[in-house]
Amino acid sequence: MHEMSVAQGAAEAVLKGARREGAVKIIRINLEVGQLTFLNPEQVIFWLKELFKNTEAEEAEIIHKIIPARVRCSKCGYEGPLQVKDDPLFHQALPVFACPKCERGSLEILEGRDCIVRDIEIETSPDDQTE
Amino acid sequence: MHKIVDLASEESLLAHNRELAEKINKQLKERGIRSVDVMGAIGSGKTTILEKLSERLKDRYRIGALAGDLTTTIDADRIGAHGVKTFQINTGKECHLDAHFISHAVDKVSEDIDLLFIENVGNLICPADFPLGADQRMVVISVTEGPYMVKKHPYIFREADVAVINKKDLAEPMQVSVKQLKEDVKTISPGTRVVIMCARTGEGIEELILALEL
Ligand SMILES: Nc1nc2c(ncn2[C@@H]2O[C@H](COP(=O)(O)OP(=O)(O)OP(=O)(O)O)[C@@H](O)[C@H]2O)c(=O)[nH]1
Ligand SMILES: [Mg+2]
Ligand SMILES: [Zn+2]
Ligand SMILES: [Zn+2]
Ligand SMILES: [Zn+2]
Repeated sequence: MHEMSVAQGAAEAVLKGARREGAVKIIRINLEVGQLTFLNPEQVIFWLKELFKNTEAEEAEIIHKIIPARVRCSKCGYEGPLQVKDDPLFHQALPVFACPKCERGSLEILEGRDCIVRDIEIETSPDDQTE
Repeated sequence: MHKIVDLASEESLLAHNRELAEKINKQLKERGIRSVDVMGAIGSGKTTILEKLSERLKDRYRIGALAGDLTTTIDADRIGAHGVKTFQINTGKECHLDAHFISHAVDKVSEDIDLLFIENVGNLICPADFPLGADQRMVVISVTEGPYMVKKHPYIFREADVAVINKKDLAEPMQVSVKQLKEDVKTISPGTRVVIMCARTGEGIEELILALEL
């Protein structure tokens, strides 16, 4: 689906940030994928690796972490994770979009809708590589 | 030397899209245009519903439509046949419309429109991640996609203000329970209004107009 366009945005952020800091090589990339996005992290990483070919990030290790959803209820003020219902029909646990406490208020999503690069580890000087 | 560079404050693509969507919404409001994003499964009846809505509302609103066909103008032409001004967006191989597409298209929407329908690309997955800045979002599914469409795509229903379950006339031959689909929507997203339709005959169109507050 749109993993490729999301990966393009992330790759741009990585290379821009790395070059700004004078990186000669990018060693590690920490990616965060929200539980409420439709992104398949494996596919995002696949595209990132494609996009990083022949760049400073070519050999970077890409680590991803799923960021669980956090919501706030407009009625009772509940703030926290969503409830997850395990439906035996599906292999995926589905989040329930009702307030876990009062079951009636509308929920505002505080976290879990994004896909960002948290940080990167870079090598700035070629002389120092043997440590 | 090794160094950790914090990039968390860099804008993510999805956040960027949401911001742009808010800007578009403001622009449309300032121009006095109400807008509805019509999402839904491929072939579920989005265009048919827009044709019926246009027919029924054309005396009360000056209607415009943006159709996000991949490469053709079929949907735009069908809606246009009802006296609606259409503005085509060819999305190429994209699987969804995003706020960036709309930001360009909105400039082309003429001044004399006060109700704008945006037909999204047929897809129940991506559009949920990419709001376009419309006042309301509507999602269309039909019984021909089978009984699990809602359960399998919970996010888009949660995003939608109105959900249409279309092709009621085919529920019996398809052995799909319209009532169950409606319950599924209500479980996942209690605030979403559900309308059951047979768009081909126009059945349910009044309920849809009420649900959209048009
Ligand atoms: N039986 C039946 N057929 C319908 C109904 N509504 C639409 N159709 C038919 O379903 C087919 C697809 O309808 P469209 O309106 O083109 O669907 P769409 O969602 O716009 O399709 P795409 O834009 O291609 O994703 C057409 O042949 C319609 O005539 C209905 O209520 N009952
Ligand atoms: Mg269509
Ligand atoms: Zn997409
Ligand atoms: Zn609550
Ligand atoms: Zn542009």
